[in-house]
Amino acid sequence: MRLTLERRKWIWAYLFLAVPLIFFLSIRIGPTLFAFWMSLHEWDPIALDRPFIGLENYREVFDDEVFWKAFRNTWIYVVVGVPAGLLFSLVVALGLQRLIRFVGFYRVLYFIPYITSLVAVGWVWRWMYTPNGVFNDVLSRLGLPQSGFLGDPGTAIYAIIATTVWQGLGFQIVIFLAGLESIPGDYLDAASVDGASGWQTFRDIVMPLLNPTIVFLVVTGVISNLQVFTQIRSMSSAGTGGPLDSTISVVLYVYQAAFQSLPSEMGYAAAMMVVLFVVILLITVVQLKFLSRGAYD
Amino acid sequence: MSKSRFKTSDTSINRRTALKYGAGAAGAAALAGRGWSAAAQEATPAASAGFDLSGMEVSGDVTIEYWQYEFESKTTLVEELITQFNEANPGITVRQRNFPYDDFRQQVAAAVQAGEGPDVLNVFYGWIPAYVQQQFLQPLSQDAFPHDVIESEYFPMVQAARVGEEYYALPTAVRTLGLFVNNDLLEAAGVEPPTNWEETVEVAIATTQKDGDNFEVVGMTWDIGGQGHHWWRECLIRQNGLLPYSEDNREVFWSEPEGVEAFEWLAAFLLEHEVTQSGFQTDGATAFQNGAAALHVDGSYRVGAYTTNAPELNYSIVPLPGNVEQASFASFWANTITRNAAEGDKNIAAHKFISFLSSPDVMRQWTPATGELPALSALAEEEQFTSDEKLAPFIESLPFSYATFLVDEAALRQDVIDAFDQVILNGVDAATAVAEAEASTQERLDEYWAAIDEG
Repeated sequence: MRLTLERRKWIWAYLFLAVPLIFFLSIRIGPTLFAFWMSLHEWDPIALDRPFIGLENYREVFDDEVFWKAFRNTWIYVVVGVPAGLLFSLVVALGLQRLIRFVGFYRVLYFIPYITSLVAVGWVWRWMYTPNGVFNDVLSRLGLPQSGFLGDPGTAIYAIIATTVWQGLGFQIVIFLAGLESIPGDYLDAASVDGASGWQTFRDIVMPLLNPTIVFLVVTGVISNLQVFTQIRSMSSAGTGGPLDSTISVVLYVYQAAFQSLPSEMGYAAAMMVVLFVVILLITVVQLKFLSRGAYD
Repeated sequence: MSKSRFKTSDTSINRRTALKYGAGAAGAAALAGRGWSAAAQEATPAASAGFDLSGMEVSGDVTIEYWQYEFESKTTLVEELITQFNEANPGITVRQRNFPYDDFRQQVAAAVQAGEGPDVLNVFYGWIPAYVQQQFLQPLSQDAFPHDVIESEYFPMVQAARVGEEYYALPTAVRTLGLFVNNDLLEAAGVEPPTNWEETVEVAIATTQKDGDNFEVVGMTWDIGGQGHHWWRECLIRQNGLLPYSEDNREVFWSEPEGVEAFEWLAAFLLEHEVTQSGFQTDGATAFQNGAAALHVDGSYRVGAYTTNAPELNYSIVPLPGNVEQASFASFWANTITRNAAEGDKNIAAHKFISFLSSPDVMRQWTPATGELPALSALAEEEQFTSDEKLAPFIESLPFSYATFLVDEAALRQDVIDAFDQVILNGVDAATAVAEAEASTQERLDEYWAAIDEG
């Protein structure tokens, strides 16, 4: 059968598309589905048999105090970390936008933490949080009581969030700047001609037009905070999410179950991951539905 | 607290994956019938000469794979040793593979799942119980390695490589804990290195330097997550006259008064004497390296790091100060045979290689290269080991050093860390915190033994 030119074009298009598609299916989707399968088994990679246990792992997840502690902590990472990050980065971005000189220099300055290794950042901050570290030094110079920071179950999680916010600032600032640049100057000019105050301009023009940017940053911020791992591993006491599980996140707990516990509890870890996956999915869907309302009108 | 760090609450699930214990022993017996009995007669316990495996020969050329974690001094030495071994054992080829320590166990698991992996595996002794439960390790042939020889010629901690009736591993070298002492700080305070509990407290108090509320020098480092958990669990409890575990490693006794007292003695450095601080200079080893700590408990492996990172540091090492008894913690990496080499020539070759790695000749090369201590008691008296002033105190501690039976290293460590945190951060009393830690660890042990026994 002779193929028409049109048809041949189609075939070629699909052929080219197939390469990334196969890659995506085998590297992303495949393992994800496999994790669902693992979560239904008592899965120890070294053991000779990996018995099917149905929903037993899920039942245990729901009875596991540490998992719920990790879940609650993960929630704190999101609820505190995301708004704090947005607020700081918006303030800095608004400031940077007004700069006329050395704009590039300041942008680089704020962006550097973002491209620095998380582990290195974690360790430097750990030093700053030590009893004799720079933060306690500042506190005592101000005549304030010293803080345990990472050593105190009440403050440890916020100490880690502060690091995460600082680290992510650069990325969020760049995105905000792009959003700000895309606001047509005509609108701002018109507002100023009409006698709008700075706050009115910001509230009624800048903010609504920044909505798509904010939606994007909230969604990516929530996802990355739900998956926070490296900072806790390199900053928390003994690297295990302490003291007394006050900083442990779901992802760190999953890592401990899969790779540190002996024998490995891969199936249990997969079950926890599935629970987290479902939560992230639900949150993302809700966010996209509500936050983006009107953003693209 | 009924928190669950991966404890399968239903033991019947574990039964299914548990070691068919009887089957393991039967396998060893079957081996004896396959050309091993000749070796048995020759295996006379010659003085520290190791083992006689001359009665077993491979039937043709065979290649075995040896895995150990990436640690330059060890991997380089093993390359040389393999050359020596290959010369002495024509027909057997050993290939070494290495992985970074951090994902060593993951690599092993991935390879095993893919149906590959090592024949001889160098493992941390604390992983042996779990690997045995997973039926991953083969028991060492009792004909090749008679138990009475192992138990009379090696230091006692090597018995941690025994699960039930079988030995699963033999080490080349071992490590112990000692007390690191900063000579300059002690001299400035006019005190001598401590030899017992009382003196330890005195020295720590005398050497502590503070500027207002800020520590400039801590008298004693505080690092429960580092070596502190071993120090209490295996050393202080024993030093106070209590066995931390029953002899068969099935029962935990920490909450006896001697155990709680040992716990309080340690916690007092922080809470009562105020000579130390949690998180000071991030961790104990770093604080000592920076000359900001007078006393610090650490392992023999730390000497190498200090030689490289702090050549100017003026310190010495003494055995851990005792109380009514002396005791130290020991740990080791040991060579095991995996189920990949369960039978035939591979199994024989694996036995020969392990025997070689545990021989006095290899130990004499191993200690200078790695700083680890020889595992054979006869060797420890040799001059080359006793003349090294940094190694000698560790070697001196070997006869009273014990390796904790670790069913799940990370989880057991967490139990102890949590107990100290409960007391320090939440004001829980020591007896309650120790009882909680004991209950949690006991539960893990119960679960482990249930899997082994009922499997």
